[in-house]
Amino acid sequence: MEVSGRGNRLKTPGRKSGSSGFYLLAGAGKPSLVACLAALLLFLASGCWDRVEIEDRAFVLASGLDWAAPSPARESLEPAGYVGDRQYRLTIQVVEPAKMIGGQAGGGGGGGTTQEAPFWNVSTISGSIFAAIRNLATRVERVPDFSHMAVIVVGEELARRGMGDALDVFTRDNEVRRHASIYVAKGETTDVLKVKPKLASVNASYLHELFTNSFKTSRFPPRADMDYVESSMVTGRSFVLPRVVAGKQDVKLAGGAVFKGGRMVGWLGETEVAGYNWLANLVKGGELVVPCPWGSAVEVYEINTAKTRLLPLVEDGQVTFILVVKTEGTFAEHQDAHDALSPQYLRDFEAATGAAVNEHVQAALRRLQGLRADATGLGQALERRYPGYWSQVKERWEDEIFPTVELRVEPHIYVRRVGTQR
Amino acid sequence: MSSRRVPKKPLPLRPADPGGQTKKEEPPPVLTRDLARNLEILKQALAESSDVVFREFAVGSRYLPAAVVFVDGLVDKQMLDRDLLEALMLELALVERAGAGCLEPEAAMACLKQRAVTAGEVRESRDLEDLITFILSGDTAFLVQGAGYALVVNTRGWKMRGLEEPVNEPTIRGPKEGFSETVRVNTALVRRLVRDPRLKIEGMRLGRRSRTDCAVAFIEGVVNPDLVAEVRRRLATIDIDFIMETGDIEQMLEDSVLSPFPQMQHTERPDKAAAALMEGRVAILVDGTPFALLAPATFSQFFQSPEDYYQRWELASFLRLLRVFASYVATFTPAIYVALVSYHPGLLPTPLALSIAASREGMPLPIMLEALAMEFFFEVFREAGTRLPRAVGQTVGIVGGLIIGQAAVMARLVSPATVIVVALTAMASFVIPAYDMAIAFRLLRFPLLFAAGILGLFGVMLGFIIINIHMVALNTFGTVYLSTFVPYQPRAWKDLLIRGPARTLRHRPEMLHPQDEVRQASRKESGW
Repeated sequence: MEVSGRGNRLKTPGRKSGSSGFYLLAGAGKPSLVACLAALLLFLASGCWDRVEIEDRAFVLASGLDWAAPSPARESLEPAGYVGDRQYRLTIQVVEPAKMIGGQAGGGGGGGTTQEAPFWNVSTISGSIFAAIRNLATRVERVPDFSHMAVIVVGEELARRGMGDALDVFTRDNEVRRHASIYVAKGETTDVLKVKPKLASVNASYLHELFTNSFKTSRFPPRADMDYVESSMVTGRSFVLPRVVAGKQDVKLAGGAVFKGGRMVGWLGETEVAGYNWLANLVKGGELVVPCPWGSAVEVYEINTAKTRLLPLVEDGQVTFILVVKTEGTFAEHQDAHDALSPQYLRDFEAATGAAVNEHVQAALRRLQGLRADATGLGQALERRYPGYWSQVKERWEDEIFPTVELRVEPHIYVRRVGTQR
Repeated sequence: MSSRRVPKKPLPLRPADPGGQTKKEEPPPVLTRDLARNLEILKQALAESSDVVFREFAVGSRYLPAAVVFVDGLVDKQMLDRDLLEALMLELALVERAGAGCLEPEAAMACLKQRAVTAGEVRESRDLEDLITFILSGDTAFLVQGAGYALVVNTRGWKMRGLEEPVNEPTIRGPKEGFSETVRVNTALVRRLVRDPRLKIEGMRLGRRSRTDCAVAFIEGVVNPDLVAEVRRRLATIDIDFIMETGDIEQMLEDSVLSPFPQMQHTERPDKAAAALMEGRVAILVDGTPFALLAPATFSQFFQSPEDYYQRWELASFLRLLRVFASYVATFTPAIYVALVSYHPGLLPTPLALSIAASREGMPLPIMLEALAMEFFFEVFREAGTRLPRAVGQTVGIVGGLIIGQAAVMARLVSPATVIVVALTAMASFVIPAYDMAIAFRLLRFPLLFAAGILGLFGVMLGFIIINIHMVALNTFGTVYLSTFVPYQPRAWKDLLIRGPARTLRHRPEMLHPQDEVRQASRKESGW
């Protein structure tokens, strides 16, 4: 474009529009000011479409999913126009940040001595989770933000009926974090979500932080997130989710829910979960209460490190697994009068500890066999070792072979410390 | 509209014009042998200037008419009296007695120059324009009847600031002398640090009317001759009436006018200037300012302080990394803060997101405007603090920073998080040792804030990319601005983000293409 033409381009009347606009960029080799400004306008035209100020968001920290019996009367005002044969109750736990920080900022006239919990549980019933979330817009004035959702609690009823469909929205939407933990509530989720924690401020962080104790006890299975659930469901594997039981003032995170084919088929008790953890090589710590080998008192072995390995063995059609347990730990409690430093005593104590591990593991295996759910990956170990055999029994594995499997525990227990007392 | 771009081609070269002569066609007027006529011409040229002194007297036993012309206030009176007037009027008799009758009018000047004038620096000048410039620079012109030229005696000596510690570039360790306003003193300071005979200090005058003394310093044999030629060429294209400061020159020499980044470095420190010369850079010194210009300057240089080389290398490296990190903080923190808070709170850790949300409960302004306003007012306070007298400046800082900031938070007009971000950003920008680079980052903050407010993190990233594209494309005096990140020169990385141990820094920066690359013998060669 001619330099002389540039200056008065805007003034020149009757210039053929269309072509000239594009040539602004191409013609002179350098974009003109008009072209630059026009390009800038493009950015403004998008108009901050995604912008929601942080104070206008309602941060959802936990969600609860329950089965609600499909009865039109549940939603009070109108008969819900639900489609299909199912109804869910979605509970979202929204934080009230102002309350959370304490009276520091606005406060508004003090006075109320009993501090209100800084969260708000809102429930709604709908045939679809997505619709339920949108339903909430009629009651929650801010935009729900699921990006900080750390906890998903699934009610027992829904878990038993199959929760995959209900979780679909959470795995499909990009706002939800894939590592939100999933719990199964014994009973209704609302009982769990309404507990006001004493130390943490929000119920959801209370639930979430309980998992940091997993190195202290092996009474609950490790944290399971949505990725884990989704991949287990897709591959059709059985799996175990942590169980949460509501109390009046607190919740208890212990035991597990066993899932097979996407549906919950039964519970694992607290000690059975310990055995399950050994089987699945998930032990991070915890304690083993062991009867004193030389007397009647109780001794405690504290697990510092633990590692297990599954060795499958197929002999004459009988599948046997050898669980090699290797753990180092501390002699944590000694209620007897024997000399804890005596090598013989320690050797016997280690043996007794091994027996205790065996007991836990066998109990867990028996329970899983009873449920016909191989949630510990025995099948995978078998597949890796005996691929040919596996391809023959693959179809019948969980229902026919797995319940007949035998297990031998080969414990290697090492007490490394006995503490500061004999 | 069309003139917003700098012409890429150099301006048509004017003939070098050191005397700052006006563009007259006739040959420059020269001195005659007639003293009276010479004085008349000079008086005409310097008419109506009360500070120009014409002192006429007679020398020798034959009473040869003579005169000195000088500017009162620019000359060292003591020196003038002792080395010129006293020598000519009193001590000449001794000379005459010894040498007998040497004062023939024809040879008088030569004789006086050789035997009578006791001043150290003496020049002959025939050209009138030259002579006037010398007089106005503080020299004394000595004219004698019958000589066709004048003696220019260097009697320069005026009231000037003593050598003080550089205010803007203080260091904990290292020389405390800073440049002063006199170019001769400054070149002397450099010369004292570099006694290499090949340190060349070329003099020239810039400014048609100001006729400012300038000096271009470089070390022959080290510097890339092309660089010197380019500096000379660009300096020769300056045709302006008045040069005040190196800043004037810097803006006329730089490659890209639109770039926010400084392309030459200025310093008040002789040690820094000397070190730059040793690396193969060129220094430009200008009379009337304590700032020397160093060219070319690359990006990484602005994160270095002369102290880096005086401290041990671990500390120096830590400080450099700190500065680089701080510059990122200074540029991007507010933008990232705005983007995260108004578009992507999911990327914040949950407790942080909640506490920001809590602190922003009921805030009147959207976060972007809030941050923009805070940044704006911070700049206002800063500028007010710089411009006001020092005593008041501190008060402004306290009132502005502490009281208003605190009150604004208490009144819930701005959220505390924004105040923290803005304050952190401000502090971080002061870590960068070069003020002009710090300003560049401070300016970039605003477009980035806008980008963040409009497009979120995408906008921040876009801004980051645009800045990078610009910097990669930027050249300064034929050197890539981002050297030695781009082009990658691994050898130079020893002295880039970190400052390697002194024994390892054996080479001059490759990017400057020095003629002599090696600056230090290896351990083996040195017999360590």
